[in-house]
Amino acid sequence: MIKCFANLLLLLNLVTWAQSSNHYQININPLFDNSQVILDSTYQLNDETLTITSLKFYLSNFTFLQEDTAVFTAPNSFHLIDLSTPKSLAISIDLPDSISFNKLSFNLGIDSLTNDSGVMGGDLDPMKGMYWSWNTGYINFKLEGSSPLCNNRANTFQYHLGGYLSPYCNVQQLTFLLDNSSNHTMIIELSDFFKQLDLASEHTIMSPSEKAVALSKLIAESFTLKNAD
Amino acid sequence: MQIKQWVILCLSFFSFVLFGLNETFAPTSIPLEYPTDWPEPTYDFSKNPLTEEGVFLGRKLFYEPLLSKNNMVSCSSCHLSFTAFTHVDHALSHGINDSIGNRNSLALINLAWSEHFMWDGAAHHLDVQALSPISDPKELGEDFNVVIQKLQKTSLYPSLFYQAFGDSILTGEYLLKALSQFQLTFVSANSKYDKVMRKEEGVSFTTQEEKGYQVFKKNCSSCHIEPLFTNGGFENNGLAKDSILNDLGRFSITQNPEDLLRFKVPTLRNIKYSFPYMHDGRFRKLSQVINHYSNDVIPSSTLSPLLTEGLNLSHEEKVDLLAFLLTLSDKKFVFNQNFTYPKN
Repeated sequence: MIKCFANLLLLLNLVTWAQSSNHYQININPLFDNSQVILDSTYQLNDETLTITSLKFYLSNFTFLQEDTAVFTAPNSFHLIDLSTPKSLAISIDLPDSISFNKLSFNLGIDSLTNDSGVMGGDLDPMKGMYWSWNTGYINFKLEGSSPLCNNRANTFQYHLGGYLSPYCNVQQLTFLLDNSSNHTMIIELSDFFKQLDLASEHTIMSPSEKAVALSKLIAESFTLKNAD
Repeated sequence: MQIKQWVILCLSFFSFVLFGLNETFAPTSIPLEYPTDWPEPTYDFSKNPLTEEGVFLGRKLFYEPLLSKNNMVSCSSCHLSFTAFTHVDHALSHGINDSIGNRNSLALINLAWSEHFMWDGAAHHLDVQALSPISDPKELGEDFNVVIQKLQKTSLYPSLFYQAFGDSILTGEYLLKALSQFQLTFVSANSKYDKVMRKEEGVSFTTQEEKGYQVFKKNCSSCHIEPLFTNGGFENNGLAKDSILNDLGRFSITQNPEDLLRFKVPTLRNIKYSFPYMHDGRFRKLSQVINHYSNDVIPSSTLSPLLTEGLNLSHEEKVDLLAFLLTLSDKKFVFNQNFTYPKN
């Protein structure tokens, strides 16, 4: 009974808190040739088919800037985006009142300081399947699927991009200009990424390497931030 | 606005008090005990403070066969407390279904001062080290999430996790932190060497041990630095490459050619107990180890520069060195009842 009452109070607090804060939201929208990416659906690439079976990545360290001055960094902002979990495709950040900004900067992946900090919970828990045990560190970006263009046994591609140690540090910092609205859409145009690869040979990248760093840069270039319609 | 914030604060306080009435989560902090003249531990205890409950949970987990795919093998299978937490008698340690691994298990000693784990430094933090043996098909071979599901279903673990971390829902973070807590207590600082250094009454080196200590300081101490008897780094110590294992050491992690055939410099503490020796367990006896360094070092581009000439020890120096190495045995450590299978 006491626990019930306590739960109710806590819930009430959360509701009140939600009403009193200044919300900023980003909706994440992965596309392939301007069409929404749906797992296991088929898309066209270079006159062949391509299917995406898994898309997971970390976005972290959301920092709001006015010109080049950071005005607010969201505390503990580590978000695992997983296309199979619709809830993960919206990121909400509580901003301080009367803040003004015109840029947003964030990391695609997990920085080396966090990698060095020992085990963590929530989205950073190694249970989430985004952690390497054979060469410990976070996997920043995972993209898997298949296409006849992949010249291997099951015509599959697997990109597990990670690694935080020089010279193969994969984390990418992205910065976008924004209007002052409280809602933006993050577009990831995956066809931009695939069109720059030679899938016949570049289908399996799963360890920190020069190639992995190059692919991380490519995938970062497919991100844009748009004002919500 | 201010009134609203006050209301929220009061309500929060009230609800936390109510929660407090209903549950008990009050872990007891314990300090890590180590000699005052040792360096500060490198492990960041602020992120995972030692508690009696956390250490006990870690100890249960360390001996828990549910961590393996066939529910028969635990961490302790390859890390026995009576042998300084290593797997004696086996050159290469074995896991589930009699699978033989690729390396000789390392002794677990003074891990709070260690920054690289595994022979090639594959794990960069103690907290995440256990992920590798749990998932390696030749070790415990189990999916990490399945381990957590299995433990969650037991009658024991949810309450142990609650007592240690305030949450009966198991997470990977808590499991790994508990394992770290137990392993951080593996402090070995009570060997004869330590007592001599502390000038304890009635303890002194024999003439032979003292001569061996001088041989050690001249030839070994630049990599096996006192008092931890390791420099924490990686070296190529001139072993011939095993053509079947083809183990390239640190290189396989960094891909840096300078790391070819470099392996973790292990501590020499409790070396009497932790045979066989080297990453592939090729030497059964300490005398073979000493002979290797003295006469059998194989030159290569990444060989530790201190070994280029070999140590060329005389027979007498070898015997003296061996006598000194045996003073690093810490009986209190290997027979510590706090490290054995937790009976209750």
